[in-house]
Amino acid sequence: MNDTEQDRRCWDRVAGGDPAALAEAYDRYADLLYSLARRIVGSTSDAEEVLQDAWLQAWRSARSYDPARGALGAWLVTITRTRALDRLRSMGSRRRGEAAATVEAASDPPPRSTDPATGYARRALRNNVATAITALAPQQRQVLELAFFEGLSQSEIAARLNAPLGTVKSWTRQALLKLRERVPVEALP
Amino acid sequence: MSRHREEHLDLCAARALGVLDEAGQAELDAHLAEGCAQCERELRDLAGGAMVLAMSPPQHQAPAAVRARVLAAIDSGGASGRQQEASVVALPRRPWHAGPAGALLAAAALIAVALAGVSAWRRTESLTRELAATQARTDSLARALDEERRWAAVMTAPGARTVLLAPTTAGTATLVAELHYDRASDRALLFAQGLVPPDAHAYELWAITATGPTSLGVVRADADGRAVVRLERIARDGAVAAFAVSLEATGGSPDPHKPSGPVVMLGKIAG
Repeated sequence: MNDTEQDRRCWDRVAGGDPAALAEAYDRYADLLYSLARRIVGSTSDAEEVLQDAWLQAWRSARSYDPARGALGAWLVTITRTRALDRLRSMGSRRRGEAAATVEAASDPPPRSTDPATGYARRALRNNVATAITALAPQQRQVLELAFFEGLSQSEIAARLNAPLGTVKSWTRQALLKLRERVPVEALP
Repeated sequence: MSRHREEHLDLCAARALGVLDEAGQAELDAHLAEGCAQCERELRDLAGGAMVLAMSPPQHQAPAAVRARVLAAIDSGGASGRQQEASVVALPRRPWHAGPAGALLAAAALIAVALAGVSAWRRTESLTRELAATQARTDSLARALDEERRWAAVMTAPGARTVLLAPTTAGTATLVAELHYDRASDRALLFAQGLVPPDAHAYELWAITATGPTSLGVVRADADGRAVVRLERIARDGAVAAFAVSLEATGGSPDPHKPSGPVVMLGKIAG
């Protein structure tokens, strides 16, 4: 049984109201989602609340997840990112600066790895991801990060970078396709 | 009819990244509804790219407390907090749709039901999003209010002490400060006036314990020398007997346990 199939069965049980299945999904995705939330909101306490709200929302709307429309991980990422950006906007610009500073200063242990094989696979994937990101042209990377982690629209990004909107759009697409090419898709959660 | 154009691929990219605006959303939905294999494939690839991006931040371990809170919340709430099942449209059991005209009617009915379903689903999605956003705002305001209440309680707590900081012989008479300290919450509020430091200098606040002074930080006053400061973890180095203010070079004393400049204000905690 591959991961996608495992996810699908697990989420069927979540949709049926099985808390143990939610715990199983949580253990698979919580580190990824928490790290994403921290990248967006900055502080650990805000990220914790985002993570909690996101899982409760996933539980409440479990039946609206449709495997035909994409992977479970991607659906959970969308929920978490949306909540984190809402939080970021409600925080206002002053705390955003502080939040960014907290991110830089924070240094806690990296995620646990359940067993050596999983640990190795995770590290390999992490390396792959890091290499793929650093291989992007700086503007392409910036366009993705402003959109994804800061929630800027493409016109806002164009204004920020002083680049034509069409260019921002084509950078976005090229950069996403490059990331996808450089990391084997079957390795993605 | 919306034939495939290059711009549709840009719309796919914006959707995968979660930044597609409503007009783009409508255009792409209409295009996909007519079936476009190229865009479907593109969306899958782009979603993979977005997932790589989602995995790129530094990785941290999710706190165990969140897991416990999530599981406790769903356990106590059960499935009651869940959205209602979509109402099921019962189809007639009798073969009224036998024959070509009947089959067409049946197909039309199915399409109508499907379209109604899609539009109801969109409405529900959009209401759910609004509700979630409102909930998030309420939560955040409630937290902010709680925090303000905790600070206000510093002045009204039964054990709160008011400490007047008087200028020492090294200080000028224009320095005025009052500090409200609640030992129970270990928080304090400082109200000060006349804190206009000489050029390249700053005033620094200290808590004095049995083991010596602990810096509580540089006091930043406005242009008129007025400051209101919230202080936490006052007694981190033991019970506080007094508070002091020293005049330091900008940035404060290099040693957090020893003023490097003169002590200009002092106030003992009574009782």
